Amino acid sequence: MAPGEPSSLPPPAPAAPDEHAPDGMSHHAFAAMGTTITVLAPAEHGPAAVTVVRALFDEWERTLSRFQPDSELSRLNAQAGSPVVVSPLLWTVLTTALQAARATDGRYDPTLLRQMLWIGYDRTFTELRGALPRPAGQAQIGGDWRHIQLDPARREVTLPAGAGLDFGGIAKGMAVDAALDQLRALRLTPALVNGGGDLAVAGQPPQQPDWPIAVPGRDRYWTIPLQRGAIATSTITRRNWRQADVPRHHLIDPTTGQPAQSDLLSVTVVAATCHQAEVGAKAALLVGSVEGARFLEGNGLAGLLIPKEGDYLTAGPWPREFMRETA
Amino acid sequence: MNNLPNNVPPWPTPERPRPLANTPNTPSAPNVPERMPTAEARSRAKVLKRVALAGTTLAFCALGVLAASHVTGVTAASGSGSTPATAPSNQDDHGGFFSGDGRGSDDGNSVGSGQNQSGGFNFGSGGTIQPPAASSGGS
Repeated sequence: MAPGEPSSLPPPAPAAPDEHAPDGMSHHAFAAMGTTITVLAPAEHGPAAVTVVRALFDEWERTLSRFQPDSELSRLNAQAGSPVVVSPLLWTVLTTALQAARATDGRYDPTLLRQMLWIGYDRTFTELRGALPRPAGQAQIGGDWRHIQLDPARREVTLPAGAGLDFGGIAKGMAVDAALDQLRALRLTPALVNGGGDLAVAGQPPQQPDWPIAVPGRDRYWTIPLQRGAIATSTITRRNWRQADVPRHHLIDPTTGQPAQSDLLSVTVVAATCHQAEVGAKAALLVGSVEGARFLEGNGLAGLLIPKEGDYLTAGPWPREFMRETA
Repeated sequence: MNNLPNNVPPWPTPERPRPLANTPNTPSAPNVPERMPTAEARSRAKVLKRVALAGTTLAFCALGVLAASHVTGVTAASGSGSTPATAPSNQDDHGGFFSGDGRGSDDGNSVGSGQNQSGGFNFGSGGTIQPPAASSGGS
């Protein structure tokens, strides 16, 4: 184990509380994008709503998964160094990811595929079992996104040679946002779409003024009332593993090319959209509690920051009055 | 003490104003413009009116096209469906990523208690204790 590397895995996440669909709403779930997608919709619209959302997630996964060798993303990565014309969906996700990278000064980096592979995350997380070998060579810092060439007129992308895209949570967040947009357009709201913990709402549930959403602390959950917007959590308490004798998790710090070693276990962010919340949470977790809280407040986001030790912190208009001891 | 020739003063002399070449030496008749015939004046006025009308119409059409394209762009950008018509530009938009995008405008009574309202999201009053409908942080 190299100096400075942690010796143990992060503590496990607290058990999530049971979820209850609000009165008059139905709950649907399916697997996509390496997680469980849940949809809450009015009972009479439930089957139609979940059909729409499932079709959308299927299409996004076929296009954007780095674990499917024939996905458009995998084919683009395989042609790094050469110009490639991409689909409107891949173009939109890529350009949004680059906006996020600029907005976070590179804390969010969509070009960390090499680093993910280096720490052993070369297959889906459910397949990430057993003893992983120690990687050869040294970790490489990120930042390849700064050298991506785009031709908007032709929707043409040229990745730097050797670079690879891994959108991570932003693609899932954008899929949640797009799914809700479709449900709105089809008047299948009120609705909630939850992409494995990154969720957004449209309208309010019948007979309720808001959506009660459980958010994680270090060893408990709190429930906060969300009326409009989206919530996403970045945490190192899930998706972690050992590579040889080194604990790993999936949130890579682009400045080191290795899993982040900040003082935070998790960050939950509320924003207008799910992909904004996802990027805000990840960026804050990478830089730690002090700078992370400053970053969230500076961008008008509400955040709950859970440190590895000590009391929680909040940022922006986070509703501290709902941080009761029970959940 | 002074090396200047005797016929040259030690300071520059102002030039004398010279008469203009075309200035007449004798007074002439007052310069009265010729009056344009009424028919020609009307004809020119008609032409000017037509030019002005055409220019105004063209400007109006151009503004209309610009306004229509702006509305189309905004609509396409806010849709962000699975097959978007437009993509975000690659310009430096450092501060715009986290700004609220107005989602939820069709949500009806989305303002609620007005508590903690912010850019594109807000929290409820939590007046009724309910079990959680969903959990964040599951992935």
